[in-house]
Amino acid sequence: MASKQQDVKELVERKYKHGFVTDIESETLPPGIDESVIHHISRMKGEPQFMLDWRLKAFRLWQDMQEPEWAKLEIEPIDYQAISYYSAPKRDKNAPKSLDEVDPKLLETYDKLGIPLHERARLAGVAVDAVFDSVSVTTTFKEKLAAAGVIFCSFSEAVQNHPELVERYLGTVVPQRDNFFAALNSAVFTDGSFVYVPKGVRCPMELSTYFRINAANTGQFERTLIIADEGSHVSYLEGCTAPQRDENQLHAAVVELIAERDAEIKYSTVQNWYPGDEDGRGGIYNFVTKRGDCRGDHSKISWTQVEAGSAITWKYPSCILRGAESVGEFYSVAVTNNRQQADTGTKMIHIGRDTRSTIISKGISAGRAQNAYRGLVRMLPTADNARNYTQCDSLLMGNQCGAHTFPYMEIKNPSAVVEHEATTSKIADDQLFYCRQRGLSEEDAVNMIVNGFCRDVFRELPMEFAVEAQNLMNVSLEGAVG
Amino acid sequence: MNTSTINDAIRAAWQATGPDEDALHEMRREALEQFLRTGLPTTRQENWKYTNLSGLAERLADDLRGEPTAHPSQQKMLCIADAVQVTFVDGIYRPELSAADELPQGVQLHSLAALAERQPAQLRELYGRLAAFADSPMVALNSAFAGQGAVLEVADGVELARPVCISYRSGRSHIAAQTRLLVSLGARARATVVEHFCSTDSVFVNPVSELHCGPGARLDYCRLQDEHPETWHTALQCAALAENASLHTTQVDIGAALARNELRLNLNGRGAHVEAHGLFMADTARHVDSRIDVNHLAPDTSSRERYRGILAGRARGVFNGRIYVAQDAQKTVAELTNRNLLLNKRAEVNSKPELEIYADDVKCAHGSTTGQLDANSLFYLLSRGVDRNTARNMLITAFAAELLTDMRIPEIAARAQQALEALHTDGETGES
Amino acid sequence: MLLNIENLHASVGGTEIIKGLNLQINPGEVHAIMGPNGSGKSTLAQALAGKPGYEITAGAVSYKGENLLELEADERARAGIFLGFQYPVEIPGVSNVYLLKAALNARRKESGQDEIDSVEFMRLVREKAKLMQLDQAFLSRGVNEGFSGGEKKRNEIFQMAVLEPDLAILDETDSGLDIDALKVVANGVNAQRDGQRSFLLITHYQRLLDYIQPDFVHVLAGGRIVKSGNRDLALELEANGYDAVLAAAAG
Repeated sequence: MASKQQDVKELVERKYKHGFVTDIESETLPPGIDESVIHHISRMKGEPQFMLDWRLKAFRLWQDMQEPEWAKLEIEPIDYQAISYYSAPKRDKNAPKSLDEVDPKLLETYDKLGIPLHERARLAGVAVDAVFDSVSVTTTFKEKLAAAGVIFCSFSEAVQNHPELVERYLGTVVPQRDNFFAALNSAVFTDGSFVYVPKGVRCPMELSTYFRINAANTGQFERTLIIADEGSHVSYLEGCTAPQRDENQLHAAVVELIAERDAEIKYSTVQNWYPGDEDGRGGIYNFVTKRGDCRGDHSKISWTQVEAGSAITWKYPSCILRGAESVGEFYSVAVTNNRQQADTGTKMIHIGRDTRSTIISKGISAGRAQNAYRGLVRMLPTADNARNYTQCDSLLMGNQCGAHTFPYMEIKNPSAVVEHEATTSKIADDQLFYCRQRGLSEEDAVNMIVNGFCRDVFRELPMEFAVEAQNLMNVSLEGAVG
Repeated sequence: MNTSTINDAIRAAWQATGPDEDALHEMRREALEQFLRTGLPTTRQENWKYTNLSGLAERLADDLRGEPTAHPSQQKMLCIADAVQVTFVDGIYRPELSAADELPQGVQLHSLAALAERQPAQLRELYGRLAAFADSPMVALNSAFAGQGAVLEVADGVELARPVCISYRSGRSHIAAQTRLLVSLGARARATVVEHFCSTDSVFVNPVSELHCGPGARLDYCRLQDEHPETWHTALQCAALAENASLHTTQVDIGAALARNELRLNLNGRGAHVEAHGLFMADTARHVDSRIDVNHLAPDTSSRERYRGILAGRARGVFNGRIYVAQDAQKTVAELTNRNLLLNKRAEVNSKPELEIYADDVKCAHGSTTGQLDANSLFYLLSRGVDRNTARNMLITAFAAELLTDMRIPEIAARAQQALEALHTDGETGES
Repeated sequence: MLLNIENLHASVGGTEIIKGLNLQINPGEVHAIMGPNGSGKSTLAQALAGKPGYEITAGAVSYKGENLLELEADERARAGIFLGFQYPVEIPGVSNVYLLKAALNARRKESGQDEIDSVEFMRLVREKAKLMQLDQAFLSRGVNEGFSGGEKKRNEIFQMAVLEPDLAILDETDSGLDIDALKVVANGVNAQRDGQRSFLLITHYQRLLDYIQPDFVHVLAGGRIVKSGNRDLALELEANGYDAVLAAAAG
């Protein structure tokens, strides 16, 4: 027994493993936001006039907006004037032409995170865009992708090299005025990834962006835009980590996906921002607007997310099912421990006929955490024969935490079928005993049962991420048992 | 009318119709002030997101000033065999239409006004204990105006075999009927209480019921809302259950231009159990909103909620069901299901089942499905020679059958069945 | 001696079910415990496996010379005790082979062995699955998820065959099985009899003992073993019923 307690103690005390800080000289704007800051960001990035105008419009809208209060979250007031809106590692030229020009400390950072950027060590079959604080560090496999006609670059580069695509699509899925955080992002976003897959192209490899917050007192506002033109296919992965700090840091990202006729986008996230310590000190405030537009007939957008980090998670990756027979999917595992709070889910807006959506959400709550699923399924009068199936399961570990389910179903078409099921329970004692009778320790038995509980979501993840997600889950729940 | 003119009119109506100084006068005045501060709920409030009362604002002051009628219509009477009958007409207790004196020992049934006069202390024990007017503008409005109502008390260990049927009838247009029902069952007491609302013209009905179930008590509570198609009906029932108490509720919503019914249940004692059934239907452009809020506040409590909605024409249905489990309510078992049937192209439904859970050793589940009549079943019936209308009625009744067969009062089940068959399924139907 | 139970008293939820039970099992022996419903058969099995909530109020149990009662459920399993459940639980999303591999490696680690090589593991699993007439597809399904009653029982014996315990306690493994399934299960058990491995069969009916020949038969009633004997005792029970045998034992 003594040895077992020792193990648990060790596990509880094991720290967030991505909590290190990279010691690198940065150019950081002083805290605060006004129009001059937006001019400055735009100038620093050498943006065309349309981008500056777009940002300023967003900023003006944002000033009149209120933070949303409907989520089941307790948030300390955020002082938007105390945040710095731009931070970038210092470098001589505008952009490094090759990896040799990238600061070795940055390369080392990504190595430590398990995301090698060196040609020789690269993840097989995955192209990576590495975003460090406000800027993209480098994007791998660009040439190979270019040969297939796929554009995969940082958002800043896209503004320079493909302004017509940016101007045409930016804000068409998430308009500037969409919500408070999206408006703020639209005003000050600094970088992110841009993907364009041309007609009929099946992207030859997984695309991935690895976001890293490093600097203190900065917000991270990235913007991702993925366009899958007619008949194309792309799978995109996103990973995020941040150093361990006692202050809360704001992350307000916007992701827009556009799937034209017969196109398919698969978007996977493993979110592991610093969650704060056991007492709720520090951690990232994660306010994210992600939305996909199934614009064309037979298009498909699939969101898979594993949300393990962040002190606060506020995110609802959504699908607008506009095209006839388009398909939206949302697979989510949200795990909260200690003092973490998550209010996450999805919106499926069925507009086109014969549209289908599936929502599978698994929430796990431990410690003193609060975990809420919030989802909307809306069947508009035009959505003849549309279908939705939703399954939300919550698992509670310990009686200091909470698990909540708030589904909204709005059905304005009689031929639509909407099915929703939800359960909340703890790990059954007899399941635990069964595993232990087969010789598994309590910790192993719990991990196995929890991973089984999440299996329907994990199997949607690309191979490269599935194992990482399982391990992340085990680490996140350490100390939750026993 | 702007807010201040409406408020002035409401205040004037309160002064005109408000009863003289009595046990509840001070509370009524506070409730009025509360209501005037908040006004009617708006769709910006989460609890009223899908139910818009702006049409009520236009008529509220007029309704509150309305004069009650002397001769009620005999239409849509509900005659429950062997029931103890209590009747209100336009919100006023009518002793000549009631038989509240035929009660066994240990059972007391009073008109609220009479009790306020004779035993004000006893009334204050019960009144407002469960339905606090600070919680809801509609309760504030009721509290400000409800000088009429019924009070039923059943002593410890007494079983009242006959159902008590309280009918609220309204006949004249533009009148506000705001009544209060207080029920208190002692330890191990048993009773069946029916509330029946029917109007034969366009009125505003805003009743509040407070149901106290003592330890081990069993209450069957049935509510039939059968209002005129232009009536506005907003109702709230609050129940509290002590240990091992059990409550069976049946809600049937048939009529009204806008019906909103809210049931709030607090399972305060260990081992308390609730079975809550709701059947709501609407056709033409009517609106029906059925809500249930179940709070598991003690260990070993259980509840099962089954709600069915049937929407035809351009009707709009709303269902909101919330299960809340407090941190120390371990071993709670709760299961809520909502199924909705859309019969016409322009009918719609908004369903929001919620779970809010703070205890880990629980089994809670909810499910919601919405769809239309099953095309295969319909085809099967047609192929057996049943005409389309009959076939549709058979399937609609089948959809509600689970609830109909479980209804404790057969007369209510019969009325519900009749109403289902009379639903106007005009226009494009929802058959595929 | 492999297992020595002395004057065992066990309670569940404050109610005493086992009331002074004695039993000794030597390596290689097959014991059958029979008894009417409610006599405490399943309680004995669960208590020996260390199920939480089964409180030992008095008595001692030694296993391989050590105090069994000090061990957690998983420690008992890793020490070689296997419980074939009367009602095997479903664990959605956890595949059969995943659980089995984790369980096998936990045992191997305990005895200082390396984790089993994947190829070797799959070979072992296929061989045992074939013995139990279990389909390959069955291996990747969730543990007992959507299995029929018979499949669940066969799965228990299959797991036993892979894990190779020193003491297998089979709790009503025969209940709910048709005759063909019973034969498969019995063959699985008999294939495991090697003169070293011991079995404790818990059953209500004599039928199982037609296929698995026990060395000893005990009658459990009122939380105690009231009569012990050889296989003939089981036949006597079948012929005369529990009441008669119990009355004779009491008289």
